[in-house]
Amino acid sequence: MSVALQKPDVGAIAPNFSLPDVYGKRWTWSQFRGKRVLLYMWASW
Amino acid sequence: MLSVAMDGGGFEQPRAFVEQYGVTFPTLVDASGLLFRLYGFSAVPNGVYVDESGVIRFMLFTGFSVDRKEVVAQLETLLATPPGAAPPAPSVVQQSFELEVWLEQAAAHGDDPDIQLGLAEAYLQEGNYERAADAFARALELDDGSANAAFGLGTALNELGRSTEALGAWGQALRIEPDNFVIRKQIWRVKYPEKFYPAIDYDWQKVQLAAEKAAESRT
Repeated sequence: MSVALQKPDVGAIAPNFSLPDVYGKRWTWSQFRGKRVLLYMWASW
Repeated sequence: MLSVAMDGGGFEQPRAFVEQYGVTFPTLVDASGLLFRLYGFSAVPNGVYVDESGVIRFMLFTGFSVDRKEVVAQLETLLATPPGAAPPAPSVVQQSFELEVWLEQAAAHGDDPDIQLGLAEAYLQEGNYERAADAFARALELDDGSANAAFGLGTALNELGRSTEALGAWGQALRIEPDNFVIRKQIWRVKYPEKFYPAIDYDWQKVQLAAEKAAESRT
């Protein structure tokens, strides 16, 4: 079985992921299901 | 609103931003570049708007800013759409990201580089940097063209205080993906900390980028 991923585009389901927040608390993308979300990706540098 | 800092250098720097600006939404830290594997971008800032059924309705990579009027206008149009008016969501099986699931997968398919990478990312998120470094190294061994495996290996080694080896692994990631600005900046941050703290020297970054690109085109 391969879990190779296809890059999502507009119209596709946003991929699930799980990451810790800046205080170490774990969040999972699927927690936001049913809500409208703006996912913002940045860096401190 | 959900924010993700693509910071391979730990939690401290993004946390300082969050506290300085009094951010009220969750700010996650992606230390291994998981999102650039999932979404396929090579620089930030990026914005992805997802509706209530989990479908991507807007995506802008590099140059996403709420100071751009056309970006705000597009988002306002999407937000004005009544719930349920959008086309129905396609049905897909979402991948799990639990460590236990990756361990089972790895036991059954130890030679699959994607599974090793998933396992490595899960270890990294648990803060198990030794195991993460081993799994990233194994993923890289199975697929030496994986910038994610090399980048993640660098991140894990950096967390273990092995910064020279970390720079080597990040350098390998950059050779695989020379246009990935997230990787390049991570290297700079460790190699030239004085250009980042206490203040970020953006003019230096432009000069440095031009110099590195010129050197890379000669080799």
